[in-house]
Amino acid sequence: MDFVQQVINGLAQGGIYSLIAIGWTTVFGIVGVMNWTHGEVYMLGAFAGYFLCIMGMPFVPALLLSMLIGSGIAMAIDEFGYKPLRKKGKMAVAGFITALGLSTFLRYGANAVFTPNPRAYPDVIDYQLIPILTVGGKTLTISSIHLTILAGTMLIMVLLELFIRRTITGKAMLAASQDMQTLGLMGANSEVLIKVTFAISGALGAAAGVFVGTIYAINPMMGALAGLKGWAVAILGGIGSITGSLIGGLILGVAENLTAGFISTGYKDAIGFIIMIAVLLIKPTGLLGFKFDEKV
Amino acid sequence: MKNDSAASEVLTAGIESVPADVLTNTKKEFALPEGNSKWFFGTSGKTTFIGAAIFLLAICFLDSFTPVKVIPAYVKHILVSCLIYAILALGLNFVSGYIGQTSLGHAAFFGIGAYGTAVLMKYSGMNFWLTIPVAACIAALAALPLAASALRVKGSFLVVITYGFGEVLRYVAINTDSLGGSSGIPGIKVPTIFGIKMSKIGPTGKEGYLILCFLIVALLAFFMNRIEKSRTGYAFAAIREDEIAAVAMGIHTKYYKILAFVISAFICSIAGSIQVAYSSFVSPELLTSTQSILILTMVIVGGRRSIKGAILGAGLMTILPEILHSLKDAIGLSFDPWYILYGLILVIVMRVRPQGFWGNSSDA
Amino acid sequence: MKKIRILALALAATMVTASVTGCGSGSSLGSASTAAVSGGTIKIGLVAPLSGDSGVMGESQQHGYELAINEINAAGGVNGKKLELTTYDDQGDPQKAVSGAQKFADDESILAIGGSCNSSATLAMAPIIDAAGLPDLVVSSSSPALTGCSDYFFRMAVQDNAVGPQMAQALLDRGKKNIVVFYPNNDYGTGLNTNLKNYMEQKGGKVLNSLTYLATDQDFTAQITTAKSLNPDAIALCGTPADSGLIIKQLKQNGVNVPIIGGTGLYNSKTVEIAGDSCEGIYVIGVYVANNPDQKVQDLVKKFQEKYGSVPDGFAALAYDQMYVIAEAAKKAGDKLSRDTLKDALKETNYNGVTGTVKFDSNNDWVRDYLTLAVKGGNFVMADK
Repeated sequence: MDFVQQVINGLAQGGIYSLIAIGWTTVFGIVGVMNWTHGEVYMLGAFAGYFLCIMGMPFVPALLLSMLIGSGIAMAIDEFGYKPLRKKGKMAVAGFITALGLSTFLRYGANAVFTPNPRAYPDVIDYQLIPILTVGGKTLTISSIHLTILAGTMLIMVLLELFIRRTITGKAMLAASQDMQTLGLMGANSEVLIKVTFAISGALGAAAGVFVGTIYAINPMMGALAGLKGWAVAILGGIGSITGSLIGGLILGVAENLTAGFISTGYKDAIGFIIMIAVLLIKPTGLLGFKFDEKV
Repeated sequence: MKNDSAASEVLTAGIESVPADVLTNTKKEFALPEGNSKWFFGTSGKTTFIGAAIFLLAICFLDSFTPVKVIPAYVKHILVSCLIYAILALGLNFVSGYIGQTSLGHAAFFGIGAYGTAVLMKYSGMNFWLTIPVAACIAALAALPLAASALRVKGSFLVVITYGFGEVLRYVAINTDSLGGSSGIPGIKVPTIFGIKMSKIGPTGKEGYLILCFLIVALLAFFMNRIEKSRTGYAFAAIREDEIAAVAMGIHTKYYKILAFVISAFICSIAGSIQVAYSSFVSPELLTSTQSILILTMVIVGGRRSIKGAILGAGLMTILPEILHSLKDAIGLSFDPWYILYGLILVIVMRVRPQGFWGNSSDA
Repeated sequence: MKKIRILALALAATMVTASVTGCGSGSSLGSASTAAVSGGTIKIGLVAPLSGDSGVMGESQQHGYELAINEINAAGGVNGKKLELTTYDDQGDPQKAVSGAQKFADDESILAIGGSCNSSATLAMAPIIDAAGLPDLVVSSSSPALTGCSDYFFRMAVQDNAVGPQMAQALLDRGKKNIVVFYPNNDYGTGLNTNLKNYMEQKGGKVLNSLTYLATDQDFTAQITTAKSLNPDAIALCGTPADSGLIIKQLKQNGVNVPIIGGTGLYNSKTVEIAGDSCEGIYVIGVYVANNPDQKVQDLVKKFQEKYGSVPDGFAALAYDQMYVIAEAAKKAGDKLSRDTLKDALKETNYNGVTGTVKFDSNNDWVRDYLTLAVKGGNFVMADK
């Protein structure tokens, strides 16, 4: 029974990882850069939501506004960080180091401005422990917050899939992820597409940040680990595949809980890295992804 | 998406704007490593070494002859730090410079050297000097799986594997009681050389380490200079510039890649051993990703595959935070601006001089 | 591009020169060991994490120091001289703490330092301050390895071997015998857990399981699920507000409703903020309590709240007292004020502060009593028996 409960907990937590992962996967797939600043966009989104909620805004508008802010920040990062390098054709190593630099700048800048203190969102979502199944005196439960977030994540993903498959911009993004240059020859404006990609990535990252803020607490350093786990999930699911990110996130959530519950709580965070390394060595394209060729 | 600058320029810019020398310029673009024969302002390596040695000995022993301390122990402490990081940067240079694979996990080898020395000295009482090669061999062995993965994946994916490697080792260090857990292992004995305790040499006890590190850096610089001009060096260059062509030419790329990783791990481990001896303790902070990123940025900002760049880059990134710290008090800032500035420096350097201060322009 | 290279090299050379001459602004030629007080100020250094994961502790300490210094200076200073604080952010890294300690040790105008917060960093600093004869005081760093590590090291921090037993006793007094402990995987948490467990089992109680986590973790459902299935009478927490606040909240969310007791690390309004209503009724061991009607305590709480917007936690209160302890010792040393005389005066400390009467034993440790508190209406009060 404990095992099943841990699995359920894992599924619930995995939704957040999936959201973060999509931000990574879209940017890497389309723009070709490992956007190391994604964790910081997530963190800034969480803080944006915090301040909005403190000012009295109800949850859903705060979430949407934070997503907008996240988009803006991500687009700004592209404009000032990556675009100048893109123009010069120097994306490979320089782009990566720029990402590292911006990430450090944002993280410690936030630390200086917001102070290192953790903060908790005011209670915005109604909390309940929902019983699922009772077997032999023990009840399996899932928290209502986790359920809400899982539902929200799935909704976002469905919308995203629709956007990509049904709209012109979305299809252009799909094409761009396969061959940006040819797309340029076909007349699409790659710069606009890139900005759209960053906007989506930023919005989702910020949403993940807000969700995490409502359940847990926020602090300026939270982007570090979350960002990396998001990347691990993106790799597990397969770069470029949104459904892959969803599945990958759930798998990581479950793996973490099982590791903490049955192997050792100290290695809970390590399992993400171990899975990532294993996937890269065995099947680099991940569960559902497609092939990429990148030189850094 | 191959980043083939010449070809893409032709495709996207139109015929008129092809640079006139694109076809005849091949020599400059793909030149072999220049070899840093010109060190400081055009002087040869030997002169630089002698000059630096004299300068160092002066710094070390000046205070033995003057009635009052001229050079604060703090400065010497920073210099030791610079030199240890220089060793690390030179080590990383093999992987991120010579064969051109960005690695974010080299703090792991630094850590293996440090923990290796600490554990061997504490639990088996081994002589410090012996632990250096033993720990380095352990590090080299640990590098093998990482090198093997470098054969399978490249670029961004390898970066994450190296990152993951470093992090997993850090978790092992934190969660293993015999390695001291999150507090590390304190109280490592100070090593002796020729019967004298290292901490007794010189007026502040740090001079012994200064000289030791300096000698290692000089040795590495010499050794690496030699390698660059040797067959191995040319093989590295070929792998870095165009791996497929290298394979086509018959260069055993797998062997050279593994060699680069192993040598790199060996060197970083030596730095770790010295660090433990110097500070008399080891803690998991040596294994953090922040450390790996710092070493990588030293190599990149200093200039990849530039020996001078690695050393000076290490010096720059070690001294700059300390200066900023003194400045912070002068200005009256309430927080430490180093990391914020560090981020900005990285962004600006990549914009203005992507090959690093002392790197080759073909690396941009 | 040659110009850039030359420029960079020149910059590097300037920096090296600047470090050699500029750092340690008091260690100029000739002033050496006799002139320990430069001009009209007495400088105190603080090496602590001011950013990063332990940043909150360092910040608390800094605030406590600053408030005390402002008060002392406003009241005329120490023998007419003003106190001045200089800080060094070590980010919880022992290597950086060593740099900071070395820097302050070299600066002859700095007479004493505080630092660091984590035991591993403090241990690393010990040989440096000992060799330089620089008094170092701490308000956190609970490792027993620090006891008597240097004649110049003074500890006003809580001790695991006192807090752990007090937590256990508080539970036993209330009839809770079988407990589960949650502790962060660092020397603070591990030390507290060990002491708590030993005492508990000595007195006939039982620790069903000690569950560990990383201090940066935010989700504890895995550990809580394990704890829940063990059916304990009570839960003991050995962490800090960032993690324990979330644990308390998640325990209640997962239907674990047994009494909870926390160590001194939990005495902080952040714990209440993060845990929310679930915090009601939990027990905490404290070094002082903000609603203590004593005038001194009330003054501190009021001023701290005005300046920093929150009630001082254990570290801040201890730091506040610690600065007064340093000031009193400096007053005692009078005209002959130097690092050594300051050290001697510190040993004789008998100061009545917010957190109790400060006296150092032969090991320079302050052995003291702690308070068992409870959370009522979102505030910390003395617990009922």
